[in-house]
Amino acid sequence: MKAADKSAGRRTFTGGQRQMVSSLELRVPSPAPLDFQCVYLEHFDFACRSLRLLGVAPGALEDAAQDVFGIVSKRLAEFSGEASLRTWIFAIVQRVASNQRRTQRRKQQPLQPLTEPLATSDPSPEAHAQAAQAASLVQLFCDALDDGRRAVFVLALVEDVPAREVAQALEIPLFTVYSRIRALREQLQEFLESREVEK
Amino acid sequence: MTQSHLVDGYLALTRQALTPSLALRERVSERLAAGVVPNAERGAPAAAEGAALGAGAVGLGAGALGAEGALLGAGLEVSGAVAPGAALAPVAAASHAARGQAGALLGGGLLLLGFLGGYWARGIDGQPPPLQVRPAVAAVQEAQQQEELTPDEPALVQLGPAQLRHAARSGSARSSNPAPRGAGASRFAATPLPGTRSSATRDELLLLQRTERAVRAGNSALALMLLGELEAQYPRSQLLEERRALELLSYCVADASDSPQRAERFLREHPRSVYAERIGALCQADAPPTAP
Repeated sequence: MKAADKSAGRRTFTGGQRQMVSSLELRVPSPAPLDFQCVYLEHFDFACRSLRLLGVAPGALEDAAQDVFGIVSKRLAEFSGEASLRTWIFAIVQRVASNQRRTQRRKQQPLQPLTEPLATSDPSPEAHAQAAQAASLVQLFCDALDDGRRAVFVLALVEDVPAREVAQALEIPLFTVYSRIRALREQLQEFLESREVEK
Repeated sequence: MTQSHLVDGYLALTRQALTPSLALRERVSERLAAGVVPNAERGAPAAAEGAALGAGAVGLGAGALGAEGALLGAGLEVSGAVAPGAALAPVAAASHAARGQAGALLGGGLLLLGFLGGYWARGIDGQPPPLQVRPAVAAVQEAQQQEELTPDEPALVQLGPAQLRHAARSGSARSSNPAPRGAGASRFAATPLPGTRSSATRDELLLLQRTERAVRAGNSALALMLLGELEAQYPRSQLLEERRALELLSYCVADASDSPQRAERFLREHPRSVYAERIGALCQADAPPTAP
């Protein structure tokens, strides 16, 4: 979306925002520091991608996303602005994903499709299949990581969050973030190469 | 392939594959707007399909009770759930429900509670008790009332008394009272049409109203998606002109290249449409000369 479109969207979403705030019984002090509707629009994709990479199955994604933004709507007023909003949401995503994973393990869900049909960019079936295949490999790699490295992987490598923000969000030294990013790239490279050799 | 190219290529494809669809975005937004309690807040994740089924049961109950009974039933369902000592309100309870059959069973239970709640809430003095938990229907109504309080944001498409009467005549709708006039009726009615007994008509109107709001908010993608839903659910409607007008306005809002041509075609086919002026203004189309 172009910047102008985005700003226009924000400007014209006041009616919907009021509706959303009303129906969620969100009590944001006036003037509202952050606009939930804008936060939702801006960060929904990020939250969903992160949920998937943190192990939430496609079938549980809708519930998980609802959980995340239900919490966001209630806690948005508490957001202090010390961390970036994206990493603040990511902390909620981590918690919800952890709960979802626990539930999934309990239910032993059968295999599910990797992704739901894309509607955003309308790629060709071949491109869609290729993207899905790549994502399945990356998710496989991601599943083998511990929580700390997985968070760095999602934030820094997939979502391009600056290292400084990652360090602040995960409360680890900046140097550690850089070294983990480098190590993760190398490991992913080896993993992908080994998979390509297997083909 | 170099390291960075291979890794970056896979990461880019992953981002693409994992980006959710607009439909998912809309579904979650709807569930949030309906006031469904997030599961994580209660430490019980997942199982929101039960919520959907529960909500479906509320809708079913509303349909069974009729237009007036619908609101009563929807409202009282909450009271009924609270009064007999149920731990959770229907929506919250539904969000804790198990998937599949368990959700369906709960939905059926909620429907029964709705009826029982109706009898209970009429009470001895006939005064309904205060609601403990706001149901989804009330949330929608409140949102609509709030919208009514924003006269500085004119609707792109005004659904006036004529359209409402038109809708009331359609299907099984039988209205003994005329549609209300005045400011309150110049937009979609927040409550069902007076005397209307067709929940399908009301649902269609509500959906159309949401479409109108989406257009007004500049969200043409959402508006077009809702129009698709309208088309799928109500292929034979008396409000096709309204739909076409909203579809056209969606294209105009999205600045589609062929929107002026579409607008001119619409104005040719519907020269006396009440939307002609707005479409002409928004889509920069020339209105056809009016017949003498």
